[in-house]
Amino acid sequence: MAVDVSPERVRSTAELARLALRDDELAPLAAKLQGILAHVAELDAWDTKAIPPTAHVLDLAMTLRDDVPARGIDRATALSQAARTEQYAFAVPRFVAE
Amino acid sequence: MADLTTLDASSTPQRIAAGDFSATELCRAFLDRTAALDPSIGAFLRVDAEGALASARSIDARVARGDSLDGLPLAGVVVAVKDNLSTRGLRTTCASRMLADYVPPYDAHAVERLRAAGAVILGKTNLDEFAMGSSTENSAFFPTRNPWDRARTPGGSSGGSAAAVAARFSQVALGSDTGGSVRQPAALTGVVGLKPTYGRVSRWGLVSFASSLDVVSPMGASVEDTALLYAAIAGADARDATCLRRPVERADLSLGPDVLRGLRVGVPREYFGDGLDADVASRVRSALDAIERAGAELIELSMPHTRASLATYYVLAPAEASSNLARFDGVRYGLRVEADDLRGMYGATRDQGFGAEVKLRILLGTFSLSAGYAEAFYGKALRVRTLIARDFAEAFAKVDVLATPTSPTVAFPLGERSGDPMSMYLADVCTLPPSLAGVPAVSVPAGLGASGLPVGLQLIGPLFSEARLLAVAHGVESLLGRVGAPSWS
Repeated sequence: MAVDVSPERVRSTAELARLALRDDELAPLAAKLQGILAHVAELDAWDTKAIPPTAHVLDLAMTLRDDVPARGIDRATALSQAARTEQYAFAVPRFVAE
Repeated sequence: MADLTTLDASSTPQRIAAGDFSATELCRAFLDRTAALDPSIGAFLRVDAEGALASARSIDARVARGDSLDGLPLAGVVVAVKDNLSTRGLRTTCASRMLADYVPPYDAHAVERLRAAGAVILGKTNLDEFAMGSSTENSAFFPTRNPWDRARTPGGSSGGSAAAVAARFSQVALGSDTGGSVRQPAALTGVVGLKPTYGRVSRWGLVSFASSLDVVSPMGASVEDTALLYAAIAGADARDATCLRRPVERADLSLGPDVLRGLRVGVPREYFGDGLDADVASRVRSALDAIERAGAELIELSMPHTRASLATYYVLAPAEASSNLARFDGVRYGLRVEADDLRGMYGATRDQGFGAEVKLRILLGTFSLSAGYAEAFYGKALRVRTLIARDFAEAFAKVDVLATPTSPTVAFPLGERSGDPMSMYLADVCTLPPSLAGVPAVSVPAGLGASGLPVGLQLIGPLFSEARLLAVAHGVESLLGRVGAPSWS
């Protein structure tokens, strides 16, 4: 599938990926993505209409571990690597309007 | 006392048990060598001298008490660990500004296994940021240099681990292999690197890049050392739902080159086409001739979907990466750049925390999963992956192993490819197909090319065939000899 990757397309994709790119980053990234996607378009040459997708290379049934209670990491440890915490929770900027 | 840093891992526990030297003496020898010489290589992001010496002393204490080391197959063995494997209490950065100060509260499964086997973990090795790259130049901190020629890369992304083994800063090393990240640097530095079958080693505690492809993988100066490390880390782990419960077979390395007699070795012609350096082609052909003279049957065959591997990989791996790296949002761990609102904090954190290649791959993956494109790109690549896996299944109906070059070139100069993603991605063109098919593959040195740089031979086996693959690799190593250590030091 041929795709025209514009700087505007890079900006909208970056927003989906939660990347705050600067304006001067958009055009060089668009050129790089265009080059990679041009190569990826070669996949169109292969007829895959009757081919199932491979999401996992091994034909395994999902296994369940034994239903035994086990202790996870404690709260203080879980919070220890966070940049900001408040009492017993991770702290984030306000995201719900009052 | 002889230079302990030339000692094989395989003989180390017995030598320590026999009192030839102590684990502490061995550890200090590697610490001293690393302190003196790693500043010119950059294999390690950090050396944990205190932790390493504590582990070594605990081995020595066992010996002093008269306790056996029999249950500790890696007793005193000095190991380097790629810095995308979690180590409790020891910073694990993935060579990213995003995790520059991250201290994991737990060990990766493979690291737990190392400690339980008596290993001495010397430190954490450099990599391309989040394992995305083929030269270790994408590290946010510094590039690693190849001990064979310090103006060249060691390959990547496990370039720090490969350089550590090649330079004898450690006896063996752990890396991770997603599309060739252990095999390609092993080839470029003259060491052995095994990518086990997908699911053979638990991914618990490995910082995720592409979860359907990532495999924790051992490296060593010899096949025997690599097999020793593999045996220590392979096996079931309930914390990774994709980790196999099958028993792990021990490799029988007693046959030497005799293992090659009557072996059917497939030589897929697609790996010997355009883009293969004459130097590499010549060394690999010489190795194949030697394998044939040792009694193997060489069978040329075709694997027609090989050339689709690069495009398939560069849809699937970035797609998975874009999802996996969504967790780095400044909330629970890692870098946080404050902003007025939550979205602003996410964006600024990820913009400042990730390097250029990581951003490129996140964008690529997000794009190929986005509405209107997901079926055309991601869906298509999943189907072509099936065709690539079928190529391997059909080949293994005719042959026992496949033999190919590991890398199309010898080690390339630092900076040569860093501005052109496609030329960098081509470094993995021979290692991507086995990753996509999930089958095990090992790179063994095939000697030095005319350039004086190491060339790797990749041997590929059917699913779960590590034991036989290692025996064959050992036979090839017995035949071709090891490339030895680089002379720079």
